[in-house]
Amino acid sequence: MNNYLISQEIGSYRKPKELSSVFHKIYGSDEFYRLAEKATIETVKEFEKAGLNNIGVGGEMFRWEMYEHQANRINGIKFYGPVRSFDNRYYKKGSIIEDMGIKESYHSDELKFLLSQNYENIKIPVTGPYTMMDWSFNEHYNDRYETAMAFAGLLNNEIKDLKKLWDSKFPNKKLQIQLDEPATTTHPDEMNIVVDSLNKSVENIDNCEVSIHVCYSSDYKLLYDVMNDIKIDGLNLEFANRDTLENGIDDSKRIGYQDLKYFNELNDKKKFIGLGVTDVHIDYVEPVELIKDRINYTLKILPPDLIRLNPDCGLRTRSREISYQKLKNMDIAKKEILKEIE
Amino acid sequence: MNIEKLVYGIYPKSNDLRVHINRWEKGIIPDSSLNDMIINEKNDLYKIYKDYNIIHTDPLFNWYDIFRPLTIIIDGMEPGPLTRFKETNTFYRMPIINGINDIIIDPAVFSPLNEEPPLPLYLKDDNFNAFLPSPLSFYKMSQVSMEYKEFEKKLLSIYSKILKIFNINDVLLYDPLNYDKADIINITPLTDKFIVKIVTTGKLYKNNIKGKPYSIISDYDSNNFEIAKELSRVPGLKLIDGYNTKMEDLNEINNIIHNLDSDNLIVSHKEYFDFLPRIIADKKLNLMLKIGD
Repeated sequence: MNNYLISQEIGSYRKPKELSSVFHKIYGSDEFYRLAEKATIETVKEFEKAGLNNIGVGGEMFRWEMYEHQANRINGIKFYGPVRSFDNRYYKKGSIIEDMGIKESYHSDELKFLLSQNYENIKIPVTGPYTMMDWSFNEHYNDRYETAMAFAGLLNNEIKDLKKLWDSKFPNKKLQIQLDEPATTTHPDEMNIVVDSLNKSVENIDNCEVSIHVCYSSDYKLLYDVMNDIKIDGLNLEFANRDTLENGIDDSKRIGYQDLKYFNELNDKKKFIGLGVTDVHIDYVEPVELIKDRINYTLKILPPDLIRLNPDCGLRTRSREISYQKLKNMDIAKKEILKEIE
Repeated sequence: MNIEKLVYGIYPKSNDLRVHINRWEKGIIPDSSLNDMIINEKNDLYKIYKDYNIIHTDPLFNWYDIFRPLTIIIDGMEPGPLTRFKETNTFYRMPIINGINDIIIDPAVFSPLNEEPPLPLYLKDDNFNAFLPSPLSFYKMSQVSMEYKEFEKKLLSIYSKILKIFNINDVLLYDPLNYDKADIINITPLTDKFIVKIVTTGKLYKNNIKGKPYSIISDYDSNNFEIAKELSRVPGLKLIDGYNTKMEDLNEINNIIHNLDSDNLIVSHKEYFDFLPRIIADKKLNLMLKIGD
């Protein structure tokens, strides 16, 4: 029973204003670390109060976003300027201009802090090699395969370094790594690159539980088709955003979760699903009953030990108050269902 | 060979303009101040175009994506959810189209819009072409509740009205999506009255375009070029990559052009430059100026 419906965070959580308002200005300074550490502790407390089994890294208080954080720590990537994401929102898209190498560890400072606090129920999100490749300009490598594999080689070294740190504190416990790969299914004819680069990222790393996080894909089936070839233990995915807000556990009400039947047909290696049960793009706090319906629908397809519960994606797009309520309702729904299973 | 150069579509904004729009979005500066800045920035670019005799569209600094202002000013359309633009990491509001009735906001006069910097749609100057998304890609990239033929007919009628309102003779239709062999875009209603250039993407088939445009500008491929030559008066090639910061080799481009069998040619870029940082777009524009020298 204690591995039934494990609840987890996906990654980001809204930063407290005292950190977000000065983040770029003080980044890397003693004051930055003081505020990031304080924010992490406060966020972990919120997660624990909400009942989460796994606290991730406490809401990614050490990171601003997922691409630039990593790209800034890689030699061989140059930033010419921002590129439009949508409307008047821009992001810094790096250009690979020469062979890449790690300038500094992506997440060691964050992990060292978490370990100093004796948090052991953590999961470290790292941006995956395919997404790093897809979101970069390439002026150097021959093709997209070679580029993704270069990112994978760097990530493999990073994960090994994180694992060493982890083992120094918890040598007998598995380290949980989440490979964030939102770009995974954007080029359907490149799933071979996804598979090979992910496998290279985790090769020769033992005693880790590795999951992948994908969201807002137009076709998860592309991923399900190859998941048995990827050395991952589970898939943390967004579903609530594509679902209805009506109660019920039949197909017409739970349209966002129907893909799971196809997942189950192919799931020879018994990988778990991290089930997105709350939408991070709306302020509406899904009622407990609706979340229960989403879980109960999934329980008709998968056993409870292969289901984990999480928001669709990082909750940083919502206020901390709303995010907390969403997590709390997820926990209440989980506990009520566990009681019913008993 | 007579070589013309064409810059089309959304051009990346300057840092100043981005900051200005941010402040406008927060209500810190008024619509009119933003409008003045947009006009100034467009004029700065037009000066370069004029100095080098570049054919161009408006740089569309006040368009959040290539459909947005059209979906706002046309009755029956509205902007829908954010959607990935092809395979890029840039998103547009997918148009939701329940009908194409009429233009309900005058595109030529200053007008603040919700969720979009203010109109007018274009700022005209010499060598100007009106930029409009081709009906085929518009249809495929939208959620539409009508058949394509009806959509195409009604949309081209609206396009004619827009061009008349602005008193524009030259129009550039942009097709970001690859054509399927069975795709047919009939632009006769426009080619009867206007000088039409059409920028295509991917492989071109002979039957794809009905109605003789002034120019078909396609991806570099010998078969595409032959079709463009046959179906239009001036064939065009996209020889500059708008998707990558890597700079093209001017000699290689000139060699390609040198080996083409044509008296006239339009040289342009693959995808509009908004997918690049401004500094790189400017460098690529600068490179384009030197092509054929």
